[in-house]
Amino acid sequence: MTVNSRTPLMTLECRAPRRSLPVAGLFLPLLVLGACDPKTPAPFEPQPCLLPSALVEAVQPQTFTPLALRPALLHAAGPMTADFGTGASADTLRRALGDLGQSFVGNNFDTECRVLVIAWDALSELPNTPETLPDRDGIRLILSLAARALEAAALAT
Amino acid sequence: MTLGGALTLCATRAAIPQETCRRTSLTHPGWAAFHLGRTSTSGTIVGGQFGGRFHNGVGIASDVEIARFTGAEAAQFNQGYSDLWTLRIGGAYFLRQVPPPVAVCLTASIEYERLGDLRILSIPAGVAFGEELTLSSGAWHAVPLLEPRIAFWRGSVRDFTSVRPVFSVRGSTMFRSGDLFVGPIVDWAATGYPRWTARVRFGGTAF
Repeated sequence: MTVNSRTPLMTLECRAPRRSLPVAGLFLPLLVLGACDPKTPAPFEPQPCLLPSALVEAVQPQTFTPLALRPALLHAAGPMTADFGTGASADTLRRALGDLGQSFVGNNFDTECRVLVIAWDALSELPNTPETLPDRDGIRLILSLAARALEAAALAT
Repeated sequence: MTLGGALTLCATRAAIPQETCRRTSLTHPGWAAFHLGRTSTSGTIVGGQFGGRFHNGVGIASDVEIARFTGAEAAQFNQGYSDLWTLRIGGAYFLRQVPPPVAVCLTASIEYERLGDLRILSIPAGVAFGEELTLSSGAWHAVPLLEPRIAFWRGSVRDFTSVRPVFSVRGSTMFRSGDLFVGPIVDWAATGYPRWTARVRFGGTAF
């Protein structure tokens, strides 16, 4: 029998070496893993969606309706993202813009807010290369207008 | 909540001296309870649950819960979509090999959450450590419990999904007298949302 009394827990182990549980040993890896764990992505948080202030405040309120922004969103999903490559963020951005371009109506705030935030997050994750800057700025503007339109539609209901 | 409830159902045999993992009366295998609570994201929780235990030492439990968000933004923008519904089905197994005073249970559950078009499926599993204490009056027993968990977590909105592990710790204490029990249950997630959830459960053995 090996006696190890470096910690109080181990002292307990000295009394009943075959039956004590390494409780601290079980908690420590969990806490370490938890500290390294990435946060829940904002669009998937189990609480009502809120538009990021950086997205909403980029433009002043406009008179665009969600329906009027569909062509711009579809254009953003197509030609404007053509040079973004085939990475996961670029693909997510295309799909989110395409989804909004086909179904953006402004009557389902929570879902459309989440898709907007998915697109916003994907856009933010793209590499900051000079060649794509004009398109990224253009998409950022379209998303901000969409956020304003969604906000206005929600307030109108 | 399911796991907390399920832990009450781990064993039925009289040979097990501790009630830590069952936390209900030894007389009746079934129980029911309701709970009230709060989340760190300003959600108010109301829920109900029931469970039962089997002779092989396995217990199961199920609960339905609704979290209502009453923040100004939620009320302003999310009419009809501000309620988070949760359904949980879980089980626990009491490890008889571990001698008193510490009782140990293996736990697992399937949890489904829905808020508008947001769907979240999580499958947490963990180990619960507890001990039953007899209070001075003798009529009441206190059962503190600590449970680290790891969960497979998958969130989806329309065709978009996010998959990740979630690490959390559950702490609870149940005060039991006869067939009735009451006590707090607190969940803390290292990085998940909500960061914490606190509930108070009231229940009794029902059948």
